[in-house]
Amino acid sequence: VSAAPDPWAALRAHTAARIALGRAGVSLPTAEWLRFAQAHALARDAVHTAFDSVALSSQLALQGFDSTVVESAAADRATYLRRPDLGRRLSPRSAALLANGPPAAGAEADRANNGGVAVVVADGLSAQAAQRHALPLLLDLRARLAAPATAAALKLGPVLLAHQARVALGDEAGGLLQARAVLVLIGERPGLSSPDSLGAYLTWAPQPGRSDAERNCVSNIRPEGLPYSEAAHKIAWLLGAALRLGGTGVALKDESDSSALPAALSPLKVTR
Amino acid sequence: MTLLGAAGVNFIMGVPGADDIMLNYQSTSFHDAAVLRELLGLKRAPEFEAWLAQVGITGDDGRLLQAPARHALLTDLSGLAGRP
Repeated sequence: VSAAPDPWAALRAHTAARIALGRAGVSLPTAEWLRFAQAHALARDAVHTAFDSVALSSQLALQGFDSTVVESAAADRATYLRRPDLGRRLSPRSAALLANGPPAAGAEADRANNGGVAVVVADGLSAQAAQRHALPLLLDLRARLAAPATAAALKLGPVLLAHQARVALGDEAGGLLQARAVLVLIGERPGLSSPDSLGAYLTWAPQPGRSDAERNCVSNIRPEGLPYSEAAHKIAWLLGAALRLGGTGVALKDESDSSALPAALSPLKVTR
Repeated sequence: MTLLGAAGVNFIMGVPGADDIMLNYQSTSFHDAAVLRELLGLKRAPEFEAWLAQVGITGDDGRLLQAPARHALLTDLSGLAGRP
């Protein structure tokens, strides 16, 4: 059976969604079936690829970010995937390390971090996402937070690079660092079209036991999704709003888009 | 999915190419649903079947037709596709 051309084909220019695939009989043409299998393989590989924290630490250092490598209580990838609870806690070694202050940062940086925004770059379910997108995002975010109004209260870092980590690991790490807030940049569960999507989770006054309702999330950060500059704009806006509100989560609504619009064009003004 | 179809399940998800691009979920696709119908001789809900025939997506036998370029559901899309 030969595949019939799809009359929607021109619409594919507008989206990475799998539309206008054509059909052979009523099923997928072979080429599309192969692309699907390849995307599935890339997603699986993304889950199992190890986080190269040494390389990322070097890249961060070149840009003036001190970083410290930590790991969760999940000893390896197989354990991490089967035991979400272990991925949310630091290993005893890492907990002791942070309780004494991150050694890579030194005493001066430790004081600066106290009350600042701790950053956890975590492999999550796609180390590729952390590897590729965390640094360019942090560079953009640091520049935005350098404004006089926020520079003192919302100083970034030092940065923790966390292996086998889930979002809530930031609660324990941020608590030990006595951070004002913790920003967890973590590889999201890979999709068929997005093996390297980065998520950013912001939690005010981190401590073990925080619920997901106490966080704000900016999702799908990657050049093909939410570009770095737009993601950094949202995170900086959320940090500023969290500072005024004294918290994150369901009480903090992301209005970064509407605040960027002139008042007359704001959709909120129209509906109120 | 074939097992579920043979067991008589009467609802499966359909997303383009089995790829929920917004939520990063994998699901079943429109193609999968069509394959399952052909494989197992399954009918659609009668009113949906009638509507599909009425707008020219399926023929009298309930099978998908090849869509001509001038199909009524496609003519409004030419502007979106960037063609005059």
